[in-house]
Amino acid sequence: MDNDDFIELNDFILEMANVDFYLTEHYLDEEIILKPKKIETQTPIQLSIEIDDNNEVKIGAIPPMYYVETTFMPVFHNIKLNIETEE
Amino acid sequence: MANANREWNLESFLDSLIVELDRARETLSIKAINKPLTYAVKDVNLEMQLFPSFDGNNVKFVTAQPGQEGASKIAIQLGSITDQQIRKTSKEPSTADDISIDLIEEIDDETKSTLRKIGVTSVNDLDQIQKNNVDIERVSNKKTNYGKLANLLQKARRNNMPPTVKNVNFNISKSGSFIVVEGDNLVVDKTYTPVAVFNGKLAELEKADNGLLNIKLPEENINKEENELVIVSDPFTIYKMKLNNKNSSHA
Repeated sequence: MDNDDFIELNDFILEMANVDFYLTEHYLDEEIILKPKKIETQTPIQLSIEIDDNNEVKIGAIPPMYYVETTFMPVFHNIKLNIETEE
Repeated sequence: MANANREWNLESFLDSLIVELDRARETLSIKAINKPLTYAVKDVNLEMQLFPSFDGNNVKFVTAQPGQEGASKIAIQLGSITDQQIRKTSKEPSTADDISIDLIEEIDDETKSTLRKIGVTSVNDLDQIQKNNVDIERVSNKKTNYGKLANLLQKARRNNMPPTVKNVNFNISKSGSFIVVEGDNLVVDKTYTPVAVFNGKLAELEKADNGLLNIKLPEENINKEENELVIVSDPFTIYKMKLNNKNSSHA
Protein backbone atom coordinates (compact mmCIF):
# COMPACT_ATOMS: atom_id res chain seq x y z
CA MET A 1 0.00 0.00 0.00
CA ASP A 2 1.24 3.50 -0.74
CA ASN A 3 -0.17 4.66 2.52
CA ASP A 4 2.02 2.88 5.07
CA ASP A 5 -0.54 3.19 7.83
CA PHE A 6 -2.75 0.67 6.04
CA ILE A 7 -2.37 -3.01 5.32
CA GLU A 8 -3.96 -4.86 2.44
CA LEU A 9 -7.49 -6.00 3.15
CA ASN A 10 -6.60 -9.70 2.78
CA ASP A 11 -3.95 -9.35 5.52
CA PHE A 12 -6.50 -7.61 7.66
CA ILE A 13 -8.99 -10.46 7.18
CA LEU A 14 -6.25 -13.01 7.91
CA GLU A 15 -5.38 -11.24 11.14
CA MET A 16 -9.00 -11.38 12.17
CA ALA A 17 -9.31 -15.05 11.20
CA ASN A 18 -6.15 -15.89 13.08
CA VAL A 19 -7.90 -17.46 16.03
CA ASP A 20 -5.84 -20.14 17.64
CA PHE A 21 -7.18 -21.22 20.92
CA TYR A 22 -8.76 -24.03 22.84
CA LEU A 23 -10.71 -23.83 26.03
CA THR A 24 -9.64 -26.48 28.45
CA GLU A 25 -11.34 -27.64 31.58
CA HIS A 26 -10.46 -30.34 34.02
CA TYR A 27 -13.22 -32.53 35.26
CA LEU A 28 -12.35 -35.34 37.59
CA ASP A 29 -9.32 -36.89 36.00
CA GLU A 30 -10.23 -35.91 32.49
CA GLU A 31 -9.40 -32.90 30.49
CA ILE A 32 -12.14 -31.44 28.38
CA ILE A 33 -11.13 -29.44 25.35
CA LEU A 34 -13.49 -27.02 23.76
CA LYS A 35 -12.90 -25.29 20.48
CA PRO A 36 -14.95 -22.47 19.04
CA LYS A 37 -16.93 -23.61 16.03
CA LYS A 38 -18.08 -20.29 14.77
CA ILE A 39 -16.93 -16.79 15.47
CA GLU A 40 -18.77 -13.68 14.46
CA THR A 41 -16.71 -10.60 14.65
CA GLN A 42 -17.39 -7.02 13.82
CA THR A 43 -15.14 -4.01 14.02
CA PRO A 44 -14.99 -0.47 12.80
CA ILE A 45 -12.20 -0.01 10.26
CA GLN A 46 -10.55 2.77 8.42
CA LEU A 47 -10.24 2.23 4.70
CA SER A 48 -7.83 3.62 2.17
CA ILE A 49 -9.09 3.02 -1.33
CA GLU A 50 -6.45 3.78 -3.92
CA ILE A 51 -6.40 3.50 -7.68
CA ASP A 52 -3.09 2.39 -9.17
CA ASP A 53 -1.63 3.19 -12.57
CA ASN A 54 -3.50 0.27 -14.17
CA ASN A 55 -6.77 1.71 -12.90
CA GLU A 56 -7.12 -1.14 -10.46
CA VAL A 57 -8.61 -0.47 -7.09
CA LYS A 58 -6.44 -1.31 -4.08
CA ILE A 59 -8.12 -1.66 -0.75
CA GLY A 60 -6.15 -0.89 2.38
CA ALA A 61 -7.61 -1.37 5.83
CA ILE A 62 -6.68 -0.80 9.45
CA PRO A 63 -8.52 -0.93 12.76
CA PRO A 64 -9.19 2.51 14.21
CA MET A 65 -5.81 4.07 14.94
CA TYR A 66 -6.86 6.45 17.71
CA TYR A 67 -9.79 6.42 20.03
CA VAL A 68 -9.29 9.97 21.26
CA GLU A 69 -12.16 12.22 20.37
CA THR A 70 -11.06 15.00 18.05
CA THR A 71 -12.82 17.79 16.20
CA PHE A 72 -12.53 15.92 12.95
CA MET A 73 -13.08 12.27 13.62
CA PRO A 74 -11.74 9.78 11.08
CA VAL A 75 -14.39 7.99 9.08
CA PHE A 76 -15.07 4.56 10.41
CA HIS A 77 -16.46 1.95 8.10
CA ASN A 78 -17.57 -1.36 9.42
CA ILE A 79 -16.53 -4.90 8.68
CA LYS A 80 -18.27 -8.04 9.83
CA LEU A 81 -16.70 -11.45 9.41
CA ASN A 82 -18.13 -14.88 9.95
CA ILE A 83 -15.44 -17.36 10.67
CA GLU A 84 -16.10 -21.07 10.96
CA THR A 85 -14.02 -24.15 11.46
CA GLU A 86 -13.24 -26.04 8.31
CA GLU A 87 -14.97 -29.38 8.19
CA MET B 1 1.98 6.19 -7.69
CA ALA B 2 -1.46 5.27 -6.60
CA ASN B 3 -3.82 8.08 -6.01
CA ALA B 4 -5.66 8.16 -2.73
CA ASN B 5 -9.27 9.06 -2.53
CA ARG B 6 -10.06 9.08 -6.20
CA GLU B 7 -13.44 8.07 -7.46
CA TRP B 8 -13.90 4.44 -8.33
CA ASN B 9 -16.68 2.44 -9.90
CA LEU B 10 -18.40 -0.35 -8.10
CA GLU B 11 -17.33 -3.05 -10.54
CA SER B 12 -13.58 -2.49 -10.12
CA PHE B 13 -14.01 -2.11 -6.37
CA LEU B 14 -15.85 -5.43 -6.16
CA ASP B 15 -13.20 -7.09 -8.32
CA SER B 16 -10.53 -6.00 -5.86
CA LEU B 17 -12.62 -6.94 -2.86
CA ILE B 18 -13.15 -10.44 -4.25
CA VAL B 19 -9.44 -10.80 -5.01
CA GLU B 20 -8.58 -9.75 -1.44
CA LEU B 21 -11.04 -12.23 0.01
CA ASP B 22 -9.80 -15.01 -2.27
CA ARG B 23 -6.23 -14.34 -1.24
CA ALA B 24 -7.17 -14.54 2.43
CA ARG B 25 -9.02 -17.81 1.78
CA GLU B 26 -6.10 -19.26 -0.13
CA THR B 27 -3.70 -18.50 2.70
CA LEU B 28 -6.07 -20.08 5.19
CA SER B 29 -6.47 -23.21 3.10
CA ILE B 30 -2.68 -23.59 2.88
CA LYS B 31 -2.51 -23.21 6.63
CA ALA B 32 -5.11 -25.97 6.95
CA ILE B 33 -2.70 -28.47 5.40
CA ASN B 34 -0.40 -28.32 8.40
CA LYS B 35 -2.84 -27.41 11.11
CA PRO B 36 -5.88 -29.55 11.67
CA LEU B 37 -7.89 -26.78 13.27
CA THR B 38 -8.19 -23.86 10.96
CA TYR B 39 -10.86 -21.33 10.45
CA ALA B 40 -12.35 -20.35 7.16
CA VAL B 41 -13.91 -17.02 6.32
CA LYS B 42 -17.52 -17.84 5.49
CA ASP B 43 -18.66 -14.35 4.70
CA VAL B 44 -17.60 -10.77 4.88
CA ASN B 45 -19.88 -7.83 5.27
CA LEU B 46 -18.32 -4.48 4.56
CA GLU B 47 -20.27 -1.37 5.40
CA MET B 48 -18.83 1.80 3.98
CA GLN B 49 -19.47 5.52 4.22
CA LEU B 50 -19.44 6.76 0.66
CA PHE B 51 -20.41 9.63 -1.54
CA PRO B 52 -21.84 8.49 -4.85
CA SER B 53 -21.76 10.69 -7.93
CA PHE B 54 -23.33 10.32 -11.34
CA ASP B 55 -21.73 11.75 -14.46
CA GLY B 56 -24.62 10.99 -16.79
CA ASN B 57 -23.46 7.49 -17.68
CA ASN B 58 -21.80 5.91 -14.69
CA VAL B 59 -22.18 5.97 -10.95
CA LYS B 60 -18.88 6.42 -9.13
CA PHE B 61 -18.03 6.42 -5.48
CA VAL B 62 -15.57 8.12 -3.22
CA THR B 63 -14.99 7.31 0.45
CA ALA B 64 -16.02 9.94 2.97
CA GLN B 65 -13.20 12.04 4.39
CA PRO B 66 -12.81 13.08 8.02
CA GLY B 67 -15.23 15.82 8.90
CA GLN B 68 -17.55 15.14 5.95
CA GLU B 69 -21.10 14.50 6.91
CA GLY B 70 -24.07 13.02 5.14
CA ALA B 71 -22.31 10.13 3.47
CA SER B 72 -24.36 7.26 2.14
CA LYS B 73 -23.94 3.93 3.75
CA ILE B 74 -23.32 1.05 1.39
CA ALA B 75 -23.03 -2.50 2.61
CA ILE B 76 -21.48 -5.22 0.52
CA GLN B 77 -21.87 -8.77 1.62
CA LEU B 78 -19.67 -11.43 0.14
CA GLY B 79 -20.64 -14.95 1.01
CA SER B 80 -19.02 -18.19 0.10
CA ILE B 81 -20.84 -20.26 -2.45
CA THR B 82 -20.10 -23.73 -3.68
CA ASP B 83 -18.65 -24.42 -7.09
CA GLN B 84 -21.97 -25.95 -8.13
CA GLN B 85 -23.81 -22.75 -7.31
CA ILE B 86 -21.24 -20.83 -9.31
CA ARG B 87 -21.87 -23.04 -12.32
CA LYS B 88 -25.62 -22.58 -11.97
CA THR B 89 -25.58 -18.82 -11.61
CA SER B 90 -22.69 -17.81 -13.87
CA LYS B 91 -22.31 -17.82 -17.58
CA GLU B 92 -19.87 -20.17 -19.19
CA PRO B 93 -16.53 -18.42 -19.49
CA SER B 94 -15.66 -17.12 -22.92
CA THR B 95 -14.09 -19.78 -25.10
CA ALA B 96 -11.03 -19.30 -27.28
CA ASP B 97 -13.05 -18.73 -30.44
CA ASP B 98 -15.40 -16.32 -28.72
CA ILE B 99 -14.65 -12.62 -28.53
CA SER B 100 -15.48 -10.19 -25.79
CA ILE B 101 -17.53 -7.24 -27.03
CA ASP B 102 -15.25 -4.93 -25.02
CA LEU B 103 -12.27 -5.82 -27.19
CA ILE B 104 -13.90 -4.91 -30.48
CA GLU B 105 -12.70 -1.45 -31.37
CA GLU B 106 -15.19 -1.01 -34.19
CA ILE B 107 -18.13 -0.97 -31.78
CA ASP B 108 -18.65 2.41 -30.17
CA ASP B 109 -18.85 2.79 -26.40
CA GLU B 110 -22.54 3.61 -26.40
CA THR B 111 -23.42 0.39 -28.21
CA LYS B 112 -21.13 -1.57 -25.91
CA SER B 113 -22.83 -0.23 -22.84
CA THR B 114 -26.28 -0.82 -24.40
CA LEU B 115 -25.31 -4.43 -25.07
CA ARG B 116 -23.85 -4.88 -21.60
CA LYS B 117 -27.12 -3.69 -20.08
CA ILE B 118 -28.98 -6.49 -21.81
CA GLY B 119 -26.36 -9.04 -20.73
CA VAL B 120 -24.48 -9.33 -23.99
CA THR B 121 -20.74 -9.36 -23.35
CA SER B 122 -19.46 -11.64 -26.07
CA VAL B 123 -20.11 -12.61 -29.64
CA ASN B 124 -21.63 -15.94 -28.59
CA ASP B 125 -24.08 -14.09 -26.32
CA LEU B 126 -25.21 -12.13 -29.31
CA ASP B 127 -25.67 -15.30 -31.37
CA GLN B 128 -27.71 -16.71 -28.54
CA ILE B 129 -30.16 -13.82 -28.33
CA GLN B 130 -30.41 -13.73 -32.10
CA LYS B 131 -31.37 -17.42 -32.09
CA ASN B 132 -34.09 -16.62 -29.56
CA ASN B 133 -35.42 -13.97 -31.92
CA VAL B 134 -34.96 -11.07 -29.54
CA ASP B 135 -35.72 -7.76 -31.20
CA ILE B 136 -32.42 -6.06 -30.48
CA GLU B 137 -33.50 -2.81 -32.10
CA ARG B 138 -36.33 -2.48 -29.64
CA VAL B 139 -34.39 -3.49 -26.52
CA SER B 140 -31.55 -1.15 -27.40
CA ASN B 141 -33.88 1.77 -28.26
CA LYS B 142 -32.95 1.56 -31.93
CA LYS B 143 -29.29 2.13 -31.14
CA THR B 144 -28.14 -1.01 -32.87
CA ASN B 145 -29.28 -3.89 -35.05
CA TYR B 146 -28.07 -7.37 -35.93
CA GLY B 147 -26.94 -6.58 -39.46
CA LYS B 148 -24.69 -3.76 -38.31
CA LEU B 149 -23.26 -5.79 -35.46
CA ALA B 150 -22.89 -9.03 -37.36
CA ASN B 151 -20.53 -7.43 -39.86
CA LEU B 152 -18.41 -5.84 -37.15
CA LEU B 153 -18.25 -9.06 -35.21
CA GLN B 154 -17.43 -11.23 -38.15
CA LYS B 155 -14.64 -8.88 -39.05
CA ALA B 156 -13.29 -8.90 -35.50
CA ARG B 157 -13.49 -12.66 -35.30
CA ARG B 158 -11.63 -12.99 -38.57
CA ASN B 159 -8.91 -10.64 -37.29
CA ASN B 160 -8.38 -13.07 -34.47
CA MET B 161 -7.96 -15.98 -36.83
CA PRO B 162 -5.72 -14.83 -39.65
CA PRO B 163 -5.13 -17.35 -42.44
CA THR B 164 -1.67 -18.93 -42.48
CA VAL B 165 -0.24 -20.81 -45.40
CA LYS B 166 2.17 -23.60 -44.61
CA ASN B 167 2.68 -25.35 -47.86
CA VAL B 168 1.81 -24.89 -51.53
CA ASN B 169 2.25 -27.65 -54.10
CA PHE B 170 1.80 -27.69 -57.83
CA ASN B 171 0.37 -30.88 -59.14
CA ILE B 172 0.68 -30.80 -62.89
CA SER B 173 -0.55 -33.65 -65.05
CA LYS B 174 -2.29 -34.17 -68.35
CA SER B 175 -5.57 -35.22 -66.76
CA GLY B 176 -5.77 -32.02 -64.73
CA SER B 177 -3.53 -29.62 -62.87
CA PHE B 178 -4.00 -28.52 -59.30
CA ILE B 179 -2.52 -26.24 -56.75
CA VAL B 180 -2.82 -27.62 -53.24
CA VAL B 181 -2.56 -25.05 -50.47
CA GLU B 182 -2.16 -26.29 -46.90
CA GLY B 183 -2.45 -24.12 -43.83
CA ASP B 184 -4.73 -22.93 -41.05
CA ASN B 185 -7.87 -20.80 -41.06
CA LEU B 186 -7.84 -20.72 -44.84
CA VAL B 187 -11.63 -20.69 -45.15
CA VAL B 188 -13.65 -20.21 -41.98
CA ASP B 189 -16.92 -18.63 -43.07
CA LYS B 190 -19.16 -21.48 -44.23
CA THR B 191 -21.83 -19.09 -45.48
CA TYR B 192 -19.57 -17.54 -48.07
CA THR B 193 -18.26 -19.29 -51.17
CA PRO B 194 -14.56 -18.58 -51.47
CA VAL B 195 -13.13 -17.38 -54.74
CA ALA B 196 -9.72 -18.12 -56.21
CA VAL B 197 -8.05 -16.05 -58.89
CA PHE B 198 -4.96 -17.47 -60.56
CA ASN B 199 -2.88 -15.18 -62.78
CA GLY B 200 -5.84 -12.88 -63.18
CA LYS B 201 -8.27 -15.62 -64.16
CA LEU B 202 -10.99 -17.16 -62.09
CA ALA B 203 -10.00 -20.64 -60.98
CA GLU B 204 -12.17 -23.46 -59.78
CA LEU B 205 -11.95 -24.35 -56.10
CA GLU B 206 -12.52 -28.09 -55.96
CA LYS B 207 -12.14 -28.26 -52.26
CA ALA B 208 -11.94 -25.47 -49.74
CA ASP B 209 -11.88 -25.89 -46.00
CA ASN B 210 -10.04 -24.68 -42.96
CA GLY B 211 -6.81 -26.52 -43.63
CA LEU B 212 -6.77 -27.29 -47.36
CA LEU B 213 -7.51 -25.63 -50.67
CA ASN B 214 -7.58 -27.63 -53.86
CA ILE B 215 -7.56 -25.35 -56.88
CA LYS B 216 -8.10 -26.71 -60.35
CA LEU B 217 -6.21 -24.93 -63.13
CA PRO B 218 -5.89 -25.25 -66.88
CA GLU B 219 -2.26 -26.20 -67.48
CA GLU B 220 -1.61 -23.47 -70.03
CA ASN B 221 -2.43 -20.93 -67.38
CA ILE B 222 0.61 -21.83 -65.27
CA ASN B 223 3.70 -19.75 -65.90
CA LYS B 224 7.14 -21.26 -65.57
CA GLU B 225 8.42 -18.59 -63.26
CA GLU B 226 6.09 -16.27 -61.47
CA ASN B 227 2.46 -16.98 -60.73
CA GLU B 228 0.01 -15.09 -58.64
CA LEU B 229 -2.74 -16.66 -56.60
CA VAL B 230 -5.37 -14.57 -54.85
CA ILE B 231 -7.91 -16.14 -52.49
CA VAL B 232 -10.95 -14.30 -51.22
CA SER B 233 -12.13 -16.51 -48.41
CA ASP B 234 -14.77 -14.17 -46.98
CA PRO B 235 -15.69 -10.50 -47.30
CA PHE B 236 -12.96 -9.53 -44.82
CA THR B 237 -10.13 -11.81 -45.90
CA ILE B 238 -8.12 -11.64 -49.05
CA TYR B 239 -4.69 -13.18 -49.36
CA LYS B 240 -2.30 -13.09 -52.20
CA MET B 241 0.56 -15.46 -52.92
CA LYS B 242 3.39 -15.16 -55.39
CA LEU B 243 4.25 -18.65 -56.50
CA ASN B 244 7.20 -19.97 -58.32
CA ASN B 245 6.67 -23.22 -60.12
CA LYS B 246 9.63 -24.74 -58.32
CA ASN B 247 9.93 -22.89 -55.03
CA SER B 248 6.73 -21.58 -53.67
CA SER B 249 6.55 -18.64 -51.34
CA HIS B 250 3.74 -16.50 -50.10
CA ALA B 251 3.25 -12.88 -49.24
